[in-house]
This record gives sequence, C-alpha cells and structure tokens, in this order.
Amino acid sequence: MKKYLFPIMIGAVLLVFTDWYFITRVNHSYQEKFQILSVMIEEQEKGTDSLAVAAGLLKGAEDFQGEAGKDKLKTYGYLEEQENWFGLERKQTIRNIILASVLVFLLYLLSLKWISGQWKNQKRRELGILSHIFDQFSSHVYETNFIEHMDERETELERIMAQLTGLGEQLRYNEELLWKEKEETRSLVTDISHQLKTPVAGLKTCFEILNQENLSQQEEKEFLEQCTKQLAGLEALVGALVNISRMETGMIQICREPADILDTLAAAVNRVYLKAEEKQISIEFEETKDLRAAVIPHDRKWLCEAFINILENAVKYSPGGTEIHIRMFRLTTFLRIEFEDQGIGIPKEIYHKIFQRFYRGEAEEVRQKEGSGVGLYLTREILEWHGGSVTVSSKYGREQQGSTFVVQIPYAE
Amino acid sequence: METILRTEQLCKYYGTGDNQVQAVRDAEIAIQKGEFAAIVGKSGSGKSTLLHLLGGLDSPTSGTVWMKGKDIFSLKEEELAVFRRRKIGFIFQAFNLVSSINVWENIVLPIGLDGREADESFVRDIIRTLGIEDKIHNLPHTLSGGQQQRVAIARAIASKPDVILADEPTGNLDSKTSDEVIGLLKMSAQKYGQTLVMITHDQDIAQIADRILVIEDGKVVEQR
Repeated sequence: MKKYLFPIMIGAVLLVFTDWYFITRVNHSYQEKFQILSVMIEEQEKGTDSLAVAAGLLKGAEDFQGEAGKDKLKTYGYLEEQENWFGLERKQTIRNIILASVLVFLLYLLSLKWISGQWKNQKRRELGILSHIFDQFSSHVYETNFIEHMDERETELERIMAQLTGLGEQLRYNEELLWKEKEETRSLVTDISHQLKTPVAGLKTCFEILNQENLSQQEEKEFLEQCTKQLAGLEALVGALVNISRMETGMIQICREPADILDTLAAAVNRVYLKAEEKQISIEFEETKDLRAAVIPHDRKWLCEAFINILENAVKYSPGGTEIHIRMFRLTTFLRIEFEDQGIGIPKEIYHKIFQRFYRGEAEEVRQKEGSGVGLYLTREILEWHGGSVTVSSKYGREQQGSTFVVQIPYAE
Repeated sequence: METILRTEQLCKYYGTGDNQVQAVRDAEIAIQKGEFAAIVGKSGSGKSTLLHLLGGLDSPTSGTVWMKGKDIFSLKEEELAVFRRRKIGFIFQAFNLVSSINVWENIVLPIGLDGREADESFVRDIIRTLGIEDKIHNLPHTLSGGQQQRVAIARAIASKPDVILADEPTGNLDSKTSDEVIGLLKMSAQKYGQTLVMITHDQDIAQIADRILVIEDGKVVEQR
C-alpha cells in the first residue's frame, strides 16, 4: 500500500487546490453582485437613471462607491447570507463543487486500484509464462515459442524471453553435443573394427598358406616374414587405435600445466631421432631469437605425441639425406612452431583431408609406407583441445618439394 | 544438430540478357550451430555476393535465406537492420573501424546502437583473449593491421551474435598474422559458442575450418 501513498497524496493536494480556486471564484462573484446592487441603489437615491448606471458599469467606470447602498441593504437584512437568493445560490454551488471533487477523488482512487490490479495480473501472467518455460526446460523441452519482434522498442519481458530463448538453444545444443559424442563413439567402433579386419584377414591367409605342407623352405621363410610384417602393422595399428579411442571417448583429460614447451619439443625429437638417423635425415632447430624457453600451459604427454606424429611423417615421407627444420616464433596470442621437411609434399586439394580420421594419401609413395591414417587426426584433436591449431602448406608439384606443418598454441588458457 | 543458417535456391544475377552475370546460382547451404565453415572461391566466383546475401546486406534475385528459422528477406527494412545488429557479427577485410573513437568505444559501439548495455566483464574477457588489453584507449589508426583486425573480431563477438560472417578477414595481413588471426577466430568462436562462416580465396587458410564449401562460377559445392 505504501507505494500508492504518493499518488494519493498528489491527487488529494491537487483536488484541494482546485476546490480552493473555484470557491474563491464563487465568493468573488457573490461579492461583485452585491457591489453592483449597492451601486444601483445608491445611484437611484441620487436620482441617476438606472440605464446610465448600467452603461457606466459596463464601460468600466470606477468612481462608483456603493457604500451607502450597501448600508441600506444591510438595514433590510439582505446581507445575511441565509436571507438572499444569491447567498443560497453560492452555498449550493460550493456544495456542488465539493461533492464533485469528492466524486472525482473516489473515481481516481478506483482507477488507481484498477490499474494496479491490471498491472499485478500482467506480472502474474508474465511470471506464469516464465515458470512454465522453466518447467519445460527441466523436462528437456527447450522451446519458448517466443517470436522476437525486430523493432527498436523492447519490453523487459521481451528481453528476458530473448535471453531465455538463447539459454534454451544453448541447453539443447549441449544436449545434442552429448548425443553427437555418443554417435561418434559408435562410428569410431565401426571404423576401428573395419580397420582391424584387413590386417587380420591378411594374417589369417598367411597362416593358412603356411599350414599347407607342400611349401618349399624358401616359400615358408617368405610367408613367415610376411606374417611378421603383418603382425607388426597390426601392432602399430592397435597402438594408434588405443590412443584414438581413449581420446575420443573422453577417457583422457587433457591436463594443461605450465611447462617449458622446448622440453616437450626436444622429447618428441628424441623419439624420432633413431628413425631419422637410419635414413640420414638431420633434424635442425633453426636459430631464431624466439628460440628460447617458453613456459606455456600444455599437456606434456599429449602435445609431445602430437609433435611426434608430425615428425614421424616428415621422416617417413622424406628421401634419405634431407633435412627437417624446426622454427619457433612468438606471436601475440600464439606460439607458432613450423616443421619444414624436404619430403614428397602434399597436393593442395587434400590439405584438409590429411587431418581426417583414417585418411591416407592416394599417392604411390604413401601407399607403400606403413600407416594407419590416425596420426595427423590425433595431432589436430590434441591441438584443438589446447585451443590451438595445426595447418599444412606444401610446395608440392613445384621444383622444390617438401611440406611445412604450422602448429599454433595459445599462451594462455 | 540444429541448422542455424540455410539457403534455398538462392540466386543473385546482375544485368540482363547477354550481359547477365550470375554471381550466385541456386545455392543450397546448411550451416549447423557452432560450426566453423569456410567458403572458398577465386576472385569473381561470387563468394562476396554470397556472404552479403547471407548477412542480408544485399537482396537476392530469387530464393530465401533462413537464419534461426526466420526468412530474413521477409522482414521489413528496419526490422532487418535490427535483426542484423542482434544476430549477426560482421568482419571485413578492410576492418571498417570508426577512426575518431578509441578501441573500446569501437568494440561496444554496435551494442550501444541497439540501446543495450555492454556486458562489461564479457567484453573484457574477449579483449584479454584477443590480446589487445593495452590498446583499448588507442585510436584505430595507431594500431597495426593485425591489431585492427583483432579489434574488429572483438567488435563482432561482443554483441553476442549467433552467427559471425567474415569476408576475407586476413586479406590485408601477412601470412603469420593471417594464421594467428584465423586461429583466434576459431578459438573465440569455439569459446563463446558462435557459428562462424568465413569467405576466403585461400585454401591454406580454409583448412583450419571444420568444413569447406567451394564456390565456382556461382555454384556452391561441398569439398570432401
């Protein structure tokens, strides 16, 4: 009730003020009438023509006194308010004014009450809508049925509804993301079983042939070698699949802790060092002013894995006696690491494909090598988990060959 | 997944008869919420026209663009302007910053135009993510190209649009800065759950996207 005190007070004061104004007007007019009557009586006694007096008054002459006339009226008792018609009329008018003002005030109070009732109803209705939406949200229905009008004026409710609609979309999006993850796991299982089928079938064939008794010593040796090779391939594939499935099913939490990225990089280089040496490929850290300790929050194990995958490819697809260069640049938001090799290169059309799961290049050089098509996919995943990126560019098809992989890792989480 | 942006037989022709140029022909695109899609095409392939149509900056000869379930060209002129301001963030090659006001003012300008209060902690977070904290009181012309594009990115993200449309965002930048700006765009769109559609002529840059669409002579096809 407190909040209505102010409008009520204002209304009352306004009303009292107008009443007071009208009553003074009425009083004034009452007095004027007696002034005119007094003047007419007085001038009549002096013998002036009443028409001349009226004309004088109408012309605004101010030299009439009327005091004697007033005295005369008083002696006859006409100045008593109860005793004359004008007095009674004045009383009536004042009563009417007060009555009307009281009525107006009551109407004002009533409409105030009605408006506040309407307002309360509106609020109740709006809150009802909101609570209905919350109920729906909790039962996983994220529709608000809110149609946003694209105009400049926006009510509070519309703004809240727009926000709620956004929240609903976000919630639905999150739910769909969970569903998508599930789907991905399912497709991963399908992919993995598919990937395993071929080497297992190969191995099986080898053993079947070995089991035949009419093989020469030479043939037997060849098939045994073949078996060993298939088994090694299978082993590598299983290792990669274990990694990828851990990653995909969220069994691994990337755990970013501040550490020197140069250490991680060096560890990765050490892991491919032997393979590189076999092919007489040298891995060089290029001296730039940015090549110094850089403490960046990252997951040492997994980022090392990402680097190893890039370096392993560089070694695998480069001819002997070539060089791999590693460069580091400190940019504003990211640390940029470039891995440049002098290998077979990658055609532009498949830049984005090489990062897809189980994709392997079409080229003969690629087909000949062992590989599961998992390494770069994993690298990209790991970097995205870090908020970073990996891209490739290549001088494929030009005189010079070789690919450059660019890794970007943000300094901050 | 929810489709946030979709076109139906979208066409844009210029001129008539023999002089007719078919900038966009029967484009059928569907972009999912939260996706980073790159549209790649050579210059003159119609890619900028396509982006302008997607953002309602230009009206099509025929066909429709649905954004968040709304046929945007069914809106009245003023309604479309408000829709653009609230739902779409634009990033252009030429940055398009207002030169007479400082970086912070540039970033919150679109929010102010919409008569809303800027979510200050959100804007500060974006500014921190983009590494321009110490530049917010500078005038745009005192910044390098890369920094100006960061400001433009911050401006596009700050009003919390559903979709960010970027037209050659790295066109004026050297290759290292380009890589960084694209990395930032991806990182921030991911962080703030926004959908990103980027136009570029550069395959090198496009490979960072989740999905690549190729436009050639006005035809749009998926690259797999």
